[in-house]
Amino acid sequence: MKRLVSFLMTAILCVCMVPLLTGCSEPENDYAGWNGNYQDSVLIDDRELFTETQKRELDEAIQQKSKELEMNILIYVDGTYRSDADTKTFCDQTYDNWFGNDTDGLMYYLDLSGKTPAYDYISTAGKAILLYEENRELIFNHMDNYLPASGQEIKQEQIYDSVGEFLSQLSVYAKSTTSGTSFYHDKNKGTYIYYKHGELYITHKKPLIIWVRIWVVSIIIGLLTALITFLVSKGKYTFKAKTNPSIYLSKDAVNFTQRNDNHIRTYQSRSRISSSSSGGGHRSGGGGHHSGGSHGGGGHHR
Amino acid sequence: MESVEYKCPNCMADLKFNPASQKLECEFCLSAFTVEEIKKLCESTENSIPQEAVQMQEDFANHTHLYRCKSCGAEIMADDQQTATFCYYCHNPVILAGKMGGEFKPDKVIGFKLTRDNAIWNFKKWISKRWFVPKDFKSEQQLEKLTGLYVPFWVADCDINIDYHATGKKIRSWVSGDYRITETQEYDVVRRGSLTTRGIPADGETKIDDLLMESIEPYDYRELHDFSMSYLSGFYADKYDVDKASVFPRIRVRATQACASLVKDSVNGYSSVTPMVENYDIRRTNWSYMLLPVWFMSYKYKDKVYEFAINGQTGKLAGTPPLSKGRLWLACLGLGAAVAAACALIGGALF
Repeated sequence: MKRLVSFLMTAILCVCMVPLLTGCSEPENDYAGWNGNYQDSVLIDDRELFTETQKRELDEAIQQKSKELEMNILIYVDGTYRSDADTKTFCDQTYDNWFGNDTDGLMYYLDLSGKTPAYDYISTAGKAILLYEENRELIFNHMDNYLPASGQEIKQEQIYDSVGEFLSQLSVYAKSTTSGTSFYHDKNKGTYIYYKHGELYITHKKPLIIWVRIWVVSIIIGLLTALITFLVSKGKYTFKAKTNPSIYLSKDAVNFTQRNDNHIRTYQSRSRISSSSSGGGHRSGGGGHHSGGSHGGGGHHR
Repeated sequence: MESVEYKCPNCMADLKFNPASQKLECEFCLSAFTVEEIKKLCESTENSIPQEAVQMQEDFANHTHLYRCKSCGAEIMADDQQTATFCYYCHNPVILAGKMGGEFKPDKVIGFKLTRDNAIWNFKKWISKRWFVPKDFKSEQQLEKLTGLYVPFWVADCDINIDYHATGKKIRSWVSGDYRITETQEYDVVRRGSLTTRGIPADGETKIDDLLMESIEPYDYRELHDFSMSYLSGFYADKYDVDKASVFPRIRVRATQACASLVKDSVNGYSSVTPMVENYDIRRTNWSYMLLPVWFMSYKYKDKVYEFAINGQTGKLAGTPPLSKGRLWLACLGLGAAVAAACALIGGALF
């Protein structure tokens, strides 16, 4: 009994120690925040679509939004053909080069290369990851109403209006949340982005909510194991079956006077084999090599 | 009432039957005698047992009898089932000879082969695999309760007529084009004849659980001896209180089960068998009344009595082990906590 109690107490102690060792210590933080230089937020017109005046107006609008949201904003209008994977890498690297690693901000990439389908991309960093990652697809869908469809003629005014609409969409979804339950995991860098005590962390340490989920599942598994073990063990404390009476058969005193297996009839039935096949698709995702800051983001085919 | 004690011819001390040597031994002068030798020496004593024991009506009413110990003269009280016991005062073995007379005299007996130490060893081995029994269940005090008892058994040889009629089906299937063809062959299966079951035992005592006795079977009947009271010396013994007619339904069920099993084994090669007639009639039964050796122990835990029996010949043990649910829960929760910790560590590494 003493051994059992010792075993139980040791196990409980281990259970209590694990979160202390793993989840509760102060994590190191790579978060760089926003340096306040809203003038860095601009539109890059690689396709040379806009006039100087239009570009200046758009830059002012972007910087105004940057100041309002306290984050970097880079809008890139590109005319160069890139694959979808290259687009992601290009966006993340361009953002990091422009603003620095793990700063607050985002880059909106508009694919005007004429590729079909066109592949727009939003690369987020810092607090923008938590703000826009969940709503990214909504923003893209909204932008589809303003941007020309793939293969259609690209009109300058249409793109100009689209940039303005994108900036207004940023305000729509800019409800700041410092909840400890939401987080983002950058699988490429292995970092987690989450709020802890009102402060944003970009770190390799898991947020508490992940540990809570792991522990809830682990405790359920542990309780199920305990219950199954209890029931199986309890089953062994029952009366075993009685002796099989066949042992009392006198084999030499068995005398079959009639032992027939006569064939009566044979009949056949047949059924059609129903052939069915099913197909399915699969989704896959991947990431490439990353040496910069942690990023959220994703693309959208127009 | 008459009682018999076997005295050592050399020193007149009491003789006790030793299961290991299968002899009656004297603890004082270390003499040893076979059952046959003692039967010859004590012929006059055994022959003096009345064939029809006269039991007083008032004793029946009270279910108790008084006996006088020939060693110390003390009066021993025993219930109406006991045929061998011990003197409460000098602990000499006493055989209540009057109860073994007439219809209560067994035809055969198998002497104890398993000594008390062997029985305790068997019990300890059996219980060592049960971790969650109450702590005092394994105590020496509990093991002291192990008692050697000759249990009265009715043993029947049954001649049985078999009448079995069934439809057997052999089914095979194969694919031909877009169709699966299933061919069914039907057979008329008939088994008629006779067989004999030998030595199905049924205990003739109401106090003992029938299932417990069936669980410690079988006994090796090759070691059956003609009954002699000298086998009982040093053990407890009971006489039957359930007659042949009352145990016959149990015998019939077991004989029928054995018979059905044999017939089933003879019907093979079929995908399915549907019996239409299945009659097993016992046409003749030969009975024997015998005493078979059993080591008994009981244990009371939480108002429930747990009984254990060990075959005094083969050592086969049966009984329901008591379960300490508190100990089991502690162990299970400990295991669950360890599993949860392991899952958390793995989960932490994976996610």
